[in-house]
Amino acid sequence: MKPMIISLIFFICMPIYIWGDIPIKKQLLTPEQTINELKKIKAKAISFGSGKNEIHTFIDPHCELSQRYLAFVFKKKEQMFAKYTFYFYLNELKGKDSAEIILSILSAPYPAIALKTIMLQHGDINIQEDDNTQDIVDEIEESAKLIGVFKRPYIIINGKVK
Amino acid sequence: MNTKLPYYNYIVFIKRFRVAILLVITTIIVLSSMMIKEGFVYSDQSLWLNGSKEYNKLLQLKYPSLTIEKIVFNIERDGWSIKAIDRLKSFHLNIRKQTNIVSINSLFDQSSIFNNHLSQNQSMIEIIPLLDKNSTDIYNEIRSNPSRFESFIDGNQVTFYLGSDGTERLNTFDCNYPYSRTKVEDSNAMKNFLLFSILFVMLTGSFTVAFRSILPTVLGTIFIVATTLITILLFQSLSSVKVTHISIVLLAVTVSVMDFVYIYYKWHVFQESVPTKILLYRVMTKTIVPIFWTTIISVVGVGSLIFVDSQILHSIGLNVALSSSVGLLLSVTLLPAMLSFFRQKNPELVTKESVKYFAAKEVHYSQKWLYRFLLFSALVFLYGIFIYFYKPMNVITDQSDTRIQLILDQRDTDRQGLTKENLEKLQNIHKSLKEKFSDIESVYSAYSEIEKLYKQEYPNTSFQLDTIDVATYNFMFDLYGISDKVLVNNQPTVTLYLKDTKQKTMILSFVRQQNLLIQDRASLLQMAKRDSINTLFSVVFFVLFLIMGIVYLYTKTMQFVWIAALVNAIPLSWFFATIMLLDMPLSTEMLVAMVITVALSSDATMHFIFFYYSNRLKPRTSEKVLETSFLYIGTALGMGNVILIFTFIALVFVPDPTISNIGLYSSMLVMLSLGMELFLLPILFLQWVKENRTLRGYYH
Repeated sequence: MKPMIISLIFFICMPIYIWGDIPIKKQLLTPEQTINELKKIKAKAISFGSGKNEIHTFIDPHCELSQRYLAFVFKKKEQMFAKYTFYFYLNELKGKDSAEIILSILSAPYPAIALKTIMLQHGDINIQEDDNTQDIVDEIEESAKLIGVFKRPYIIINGKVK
Repeated sequence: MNTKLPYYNYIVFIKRFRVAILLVITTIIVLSSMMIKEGFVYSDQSLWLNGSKEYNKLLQLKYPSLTIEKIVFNIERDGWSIKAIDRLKSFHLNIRKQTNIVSINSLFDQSSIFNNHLSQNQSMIEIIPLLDKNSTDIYNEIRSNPSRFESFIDGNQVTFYLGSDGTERLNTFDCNYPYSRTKVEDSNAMKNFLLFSILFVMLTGSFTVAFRSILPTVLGTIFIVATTLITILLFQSLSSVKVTHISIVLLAVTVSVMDFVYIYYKWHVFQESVPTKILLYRVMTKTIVPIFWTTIISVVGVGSLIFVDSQILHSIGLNVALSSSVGLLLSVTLLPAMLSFFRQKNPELVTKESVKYFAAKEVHYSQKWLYRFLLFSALVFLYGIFIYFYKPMNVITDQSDTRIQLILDQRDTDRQGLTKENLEKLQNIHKSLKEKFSDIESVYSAYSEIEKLYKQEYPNTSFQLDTIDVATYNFMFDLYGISDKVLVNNQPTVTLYLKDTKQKTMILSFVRQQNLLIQDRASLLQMAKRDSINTLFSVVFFVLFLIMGIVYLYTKTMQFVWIAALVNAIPLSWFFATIMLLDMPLSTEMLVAMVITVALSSDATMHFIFFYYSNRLKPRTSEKVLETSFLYIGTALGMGNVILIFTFIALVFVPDPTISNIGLYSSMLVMLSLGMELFLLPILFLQWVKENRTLRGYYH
């Protein structure tokens, strides 16, 4: 009886693992498709720098590694921002409860400053509501799913995930 | 006395205006001593580098040169422990605060690559220096993978490489462990004191002993000081080289000692046989011709080095030319003016009896042994020539310079940086270096870092350069601050760590052919010295041919020409062949010593040949010819050379490797050269000249 129950649980969970919210460790689109997909949401990203090379990253403001990644970028910001243009896409990671803070950052008059305040200085910002912001969050979410963003930080260089 | 005789009116002039002449020269000496810029340089590093081919390439491309200092700590007291890691780490952190340090390479500087995996959906590959980890983690990492740190850890010896910009020297620093540091120099004041004390004591002592009188000591000191001061002043005024290396003082002293000894000795021996009135005239006629031709040889031969780009060779050339010219000028002005005031009563001829003994011995030389000796020397010479062309020349190097810093030379700016093409080049360089040279312990470059990173990410996949995305690694290098370690001015660098320095010259010659620029000053210096070997050898040969040419010009007799060539070439061939046979690394001090010796021995040869040639019409037996040549030339030559040998040997005690090595090699070479002048030249003269019945005008 017991092995039967275990097998049943396994077969019920398997499709959830494959098709559900449990991350799949691969990029779903080709690099070219990824670049095209990113073009659609590029304007919604918070960008830094003016370099020739583009670095696209999906981050969650409450994710410790996203914060660490941002700290590395800002550690040598003059050098980094001269060589690269960074696009940060705020994308909630399950279990981090960051939906509200993402909305606040994106609704802030200066989202870049708000992002730094939250992620680097661990400060607070005023919570703001903006109907349009939710659309941005949804668009990013949709693209993330299409690309196959499974972790944070999810760094894309030349259309390929690092 | 016939006033139409050469030099006679000149001697009369010198005698008449001797006070005025002495006053003028004294004024020049005083002014020279006041105008000379202080501070002699002992380190010849910058002189070697400036004007050298490799260093010029680096300058043209605007890359900074790097002075790397190796510091080895002995942590035996604590052994490998967390406490030891703590102490070394605190040293690393403290030394980093020194403003003149541009790079530190130690075990703490090594990258620790790991996958920071917080959860299934939070992960990131991170590269952090070991320094950012706590001491326990560092200890564990070293213990778990000791081969990664073999360039920095050898038992209880822990190595740090500190890089400073250009000529910057590092200050002293504190650490809880004893350490060895080879590049610290003693103070120049101490060296100056020792060097000048040794020179003064040896020279004055030797003059007093040799002539059993205080007069040559006083006159010799004045003459040598005058020649040296005026030479240095002229050198500082005329040379584009802004520093005065201490070897310039040594060369000037050497040249002036020989000039003084030849003239003073002649004046000394003529005291009894020549009336006072014509004494100076006779001295002048007997010495001025060989001194003049020797000066020509020095000025034209060694002086040709002034056209070389290398600052050190330029300095040697200019200095020999100036000191010979000043020596000649003061020999015909200051010295006769001073000598005209004195008369030596009962002058002692210290070698009066011994010259007879030697002449009697040498006149009965064995022709068979002479030819055997010449044949053997010819073989030694041929061996030296063969080795010179076919054996890779090893230049002496500091044992502690076990790190070589290189830059990939890619002039096309579009192809610079971490491109696939450059990474492929680095891969090939890694491969060839490891295949060819067993002395290389490890090679560090962007390629090796990418390989490490790849293996960390994909431990089960073999690393293939074609499959990687270079832009990603470029970004990671920038993100984690690795770019500064593997790139300079956007050009990839290569760092070689050597087990020892035996193959270093060969490695540097190889990397130069691989389109790599040498960045560290120790290696640049080594290549500058390596490149100067050919120039210095050419000069030695040029001087030999010049001696032959001048001897022919003066004597029009080929026998004299061959004698001059043999007597000057044999000591150099023996010395060089012995160095090659013993596989001793060649040092520039040896080559400088060879240049000094060839200048000195040409002096001796010219005096001997002038003597034989000008006495060729006198009816004398072979024994008498040898006896008089020993008395009038050989003794002065012996005295001068013995004084120089002792002085050079004493320089070994100066705590500076350049000076002590020049002293050591010069003393050996001068000894060899003296032996040839006293024992080979007179025999060759008897064999080829005296017995040559076909020689026109010669009295047999």
